[in-house]
Amino acid sequence: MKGQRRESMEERRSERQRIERAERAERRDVLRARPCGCGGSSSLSSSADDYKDVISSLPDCLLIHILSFLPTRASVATSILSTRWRSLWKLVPVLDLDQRKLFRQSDTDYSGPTTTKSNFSFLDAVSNIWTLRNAIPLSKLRIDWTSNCDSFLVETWVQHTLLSGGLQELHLYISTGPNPPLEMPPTLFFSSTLVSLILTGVIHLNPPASASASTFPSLRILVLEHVRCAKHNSISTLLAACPVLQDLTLAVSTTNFYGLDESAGKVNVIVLVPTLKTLYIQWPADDCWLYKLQINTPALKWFRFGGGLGEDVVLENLPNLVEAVIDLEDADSNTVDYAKRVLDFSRPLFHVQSLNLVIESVEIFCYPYKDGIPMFHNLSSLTFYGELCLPWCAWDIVQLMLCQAPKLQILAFELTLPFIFTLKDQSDYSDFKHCHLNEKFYDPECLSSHLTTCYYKGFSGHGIEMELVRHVLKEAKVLKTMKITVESNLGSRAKHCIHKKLMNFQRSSRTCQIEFDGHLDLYSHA
Amino acid sequence: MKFCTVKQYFDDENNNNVTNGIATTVIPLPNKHLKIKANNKEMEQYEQELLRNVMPQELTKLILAANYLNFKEALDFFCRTVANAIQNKSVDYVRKFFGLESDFEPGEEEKLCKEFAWSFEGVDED
Repeated sequence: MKGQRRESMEERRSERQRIERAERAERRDVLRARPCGCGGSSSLSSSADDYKDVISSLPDCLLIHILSFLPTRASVATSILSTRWRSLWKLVPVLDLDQRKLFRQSDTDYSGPTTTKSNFSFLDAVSNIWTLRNAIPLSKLRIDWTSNCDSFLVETWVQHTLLSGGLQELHLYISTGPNPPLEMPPTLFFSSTLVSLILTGVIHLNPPASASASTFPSLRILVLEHVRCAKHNSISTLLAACPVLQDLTLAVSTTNFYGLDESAGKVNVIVLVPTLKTLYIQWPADDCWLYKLQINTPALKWFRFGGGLGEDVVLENLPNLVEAVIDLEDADSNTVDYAKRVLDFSRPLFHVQSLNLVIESVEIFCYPYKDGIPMFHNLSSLTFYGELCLPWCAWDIVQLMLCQAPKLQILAFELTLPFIFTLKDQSDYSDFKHCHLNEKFYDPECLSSHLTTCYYKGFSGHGIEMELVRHVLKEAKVLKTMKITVESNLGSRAKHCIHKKLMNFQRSSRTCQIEFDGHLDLYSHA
Repeated sequence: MKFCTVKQYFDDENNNNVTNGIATTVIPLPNKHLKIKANNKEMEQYEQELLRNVMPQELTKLILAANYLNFKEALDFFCRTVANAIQNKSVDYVRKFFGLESDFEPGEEEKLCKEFAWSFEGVDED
């Protein structure tokens, strides 16, 4: 009796499993395949089966979606996994070709000749890919070819891609070497689906004068770095054709407009984009008088500027600006004039919450204000970065700035010392005691009332650095964290020495924690 | 609008499509997304934490769940994670990862290997 019952139960169970497996196989072909709802009653053997089934139960479209996140080289490599995967890569609507990464030399398992060149030609490989893949319209085309790029070939691909329609992202990083520059085809300006356009390198661009808001109705991200433009107002024309642009990066160098007729007027870049949120401009510092820049972006939140201020650099209408990163270069011009230009330029920046300044340009930035910098009423985070060339001048100005930022909470330094300073014996900072901070004249209010966090990256124990940290620890009454990240090339003995000295500094804030990030093995030191 | 499928899921009492474990991982994602929408770095860290110890088969279920729920950000994230896991890995590693077996004819695999030899150069050690 019992035996019979057990048998029929077994039968029913295996029957159920057979049905379930058949159902699963059917569901595999459905576009929105559902995962098998495994109950807890599976035995060990069927759970291994389930594991396999789950992986293979992904429909082709989801496998292709996974492949679309891989660089094309890796995607092609999956063709060898199994018969199902053999041609999946050809259906991926993304081409991501990187000449540098297409041939990686692994030190251990590449047994070929030990040269840096690969056995395979990038040109052959990508031509092969292009021919073999199905002619499915691409949604993303990214080509990074910075060594003797075959511009004609790339032009053909870009043209073909644009004509197929549906392109959303086009990213080109090109350097052609002896070959002619890459000419962007005019069909680019009929690509209404484009969301992100990045052009970097030896590329020629000629936006038609007829470009309007219907040219790039979907473009949100635009990057033009060292791209050569056909006319003086090419960039302005292009920007006027991007009604929903949010992110703009523009790197203009003197070679970008080389050969343009100077008598036709200045190179004119007008950034008048009401939707722009992020802007990064790299502007030429030489021959500034040839260039004109006007920025009027009411929605801007993040602004970065590097370069020289020509006469015609106008920055206005930035009421929503939250963060600014400034790297001003000293233009070769009349200093009074330049001072006024800096004043006009920096006026919209005084209400930001976060400011990053290259330490070299701090002096230029403060130059017009010898009698008093305007207040940074909203500034809660101030960072100084760059190379520390003249430490003793810079510290005075840092103090000056601290005085004008009454609500500052975070103060950060990300500085590197020039080589000559690193030659000195790190543990002895008494050499530079004479350049102590002028405590008598400067007593920044923020230090005692608001500063809660201080970071110093690239600390090397140099006299000036020690002085600054000592001063902050002494004055900052509400400091919670002082985080020091030591230069990685210092020896462990030097690191211990620095750590010991830092711990001995007087702290006026009882809740202050000193975090020392130097990979110190504290227990090995007596 | 985005989460009408989610609502449907909750309304559906007898739903076999998304097991409970998966639901607890996927459902909180929309809220988290909205909270840290501005800060991409934070989102990345959160995502790294979430998937640190997840097995491939779990990941597959997550992909299918996100697909069913029509949740694009989660789907992209899970697929990207799988892609990162198999990038630059040897063929054997990837096969093991996916639980696949080679079902090629004897000469076919070699032929493919030869044709795309450049794509197999310089992979990571297992």
